Amino acid sequence: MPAFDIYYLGIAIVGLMGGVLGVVGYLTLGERKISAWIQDRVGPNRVGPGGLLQPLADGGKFFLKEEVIPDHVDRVFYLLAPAVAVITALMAIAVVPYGSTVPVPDPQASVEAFDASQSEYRSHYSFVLAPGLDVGVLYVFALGSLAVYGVILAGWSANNKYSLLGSLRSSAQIISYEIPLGLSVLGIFVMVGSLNLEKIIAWQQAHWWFVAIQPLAFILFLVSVYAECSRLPFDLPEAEQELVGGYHTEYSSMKLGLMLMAEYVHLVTTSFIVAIVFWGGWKFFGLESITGNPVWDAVICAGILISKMLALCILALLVRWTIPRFRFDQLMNIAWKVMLPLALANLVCVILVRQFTWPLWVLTICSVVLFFGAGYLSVISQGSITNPKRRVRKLPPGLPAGVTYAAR
Amino acid sequence: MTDADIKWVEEPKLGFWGQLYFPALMDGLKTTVGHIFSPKITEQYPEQEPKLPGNYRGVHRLNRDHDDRVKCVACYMCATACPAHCIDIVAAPAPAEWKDREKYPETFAIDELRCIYCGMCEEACPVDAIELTTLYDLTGLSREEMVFDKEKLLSVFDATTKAGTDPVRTRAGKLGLASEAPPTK
Repeated sequence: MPAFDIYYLGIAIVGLMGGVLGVVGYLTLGERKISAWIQDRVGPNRVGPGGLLQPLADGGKFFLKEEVIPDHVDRVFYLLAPAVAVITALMAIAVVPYGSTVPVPDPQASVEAFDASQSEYRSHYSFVLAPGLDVGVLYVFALGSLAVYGVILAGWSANNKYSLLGSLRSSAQIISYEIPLGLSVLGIFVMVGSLNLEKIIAWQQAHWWFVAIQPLAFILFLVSVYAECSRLPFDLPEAEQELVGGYHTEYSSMKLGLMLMAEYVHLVTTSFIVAIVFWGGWKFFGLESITGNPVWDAVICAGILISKMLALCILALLVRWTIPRFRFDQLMNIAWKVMLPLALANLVCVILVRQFTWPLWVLTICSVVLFFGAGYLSVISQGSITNPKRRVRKLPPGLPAGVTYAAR
Repeated sequence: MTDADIKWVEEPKLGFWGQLYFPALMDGLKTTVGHIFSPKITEQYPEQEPKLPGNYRGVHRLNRDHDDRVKCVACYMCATACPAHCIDIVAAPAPAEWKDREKYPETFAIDELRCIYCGMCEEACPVDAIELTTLYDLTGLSREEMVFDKEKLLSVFDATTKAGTDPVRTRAGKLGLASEAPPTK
């Protein structure tokens, strides 16, 4: 990036925010369309050609609805919660590349060499709002954990048992799934040696996509991401059948809209992260430099990355309408007894390969062995590890000993 | 109830593929993606009219006979059978040139809002004069408008037979046995 220019940055921020919110709007339409198609229906098709203006109609409806703030809520936190949810969701996008990037130079031996490499780095434009942020992914994870505050504040301040139950579930779920989420990508940071997303892309350019090198980490990360976004099959915080609406039961009008929007923004951000960390970012078998013209190449790179992101979003939508919700004990069992040990074992494999500089395909084999080994272990243990049999006390018929009906 | 009555059921055991979970997920995705490309069953209602069966019970009509006279003989059987009491008939002696009946309805009104569309009037009618059609999208702006009089019910007959949606189902043009004059010796 050339010297800091507030106009370029402003344009980039406005463009990216508009783009992300547009994608979010059309994800709601996509969700409705895909659910309709899966259920052999047609879906919304009245607003605009093929229903393409439906997100506008939905947004307008949200704005025009009556805003009900119940008397029994804690007003300050009730009003703060949707803002926290959306702001944290949108802030995470700052470090996410949305087009071709140039990796940050490594530390240099001398000050002159550092200056030279820095000025060379600054002469390129990187499609990131905050390029060269070395904590990169950590920043995204930190804001992802902050998002749970929006949920907890909403549930707590609503002063409603259903909302509270939903937010408690959500906090338990998000805190549990942060551990496999972090551990599964830790192996990638070990391989790359940096948390910077631009460097992770550059490493994959030099070697091969991480989805091929660490497929197990990809699966664990994707599952944790769905849990972090509260997407089905992990949407227990807002299980309608049990909790009315979950943590946003008491919200109406655009506040509800913001709550729902925050989840989709999370989906977009995490899809970007998965595309960048595991699917090679803006690289696609040489297609990224096919024209040779830097401007067109930049456009193609952005297109490739955004297509990958959209494909992952669509996968999330398909998964949502394919499998049913987990029970809460199953959810916790999977996080703590399956994904956490697998992620740890995967990390050990990565560290071994890195330490002894074994070839990278060893890691692929490690992933496959771990995956099928876990399945085999479950079979021979008859599920007693993840789902231990509890002794059911069979009570004799009638009243328990010593208890009698009160005399009438 | 004793212990012997309680049946303890075990969960089915998952095999190797089931324990891996992802093959089952892929199987599910195959099903759902297959449904995405399968033909849709939605009816686009205002543009695409539903195909209703012939015995659908919609708006009533009063049938005409071959001479375009109203078939009704004002016997009050439909009004008596009606559980919603929505049929109001005023009978009058038939005109002298109508040789085949003694009475005809001077007025015949059905309150379409009170009607429950049970079809009992149709079953009760001895001369097959009243029938339910497949018109289902009946709307109006006032209660008075929804009380159909004789002319309106006859116009429903004209409209439905002309459009061919509801051909005359029952003994077209002829009065039923019940209206025939007793045999003369």
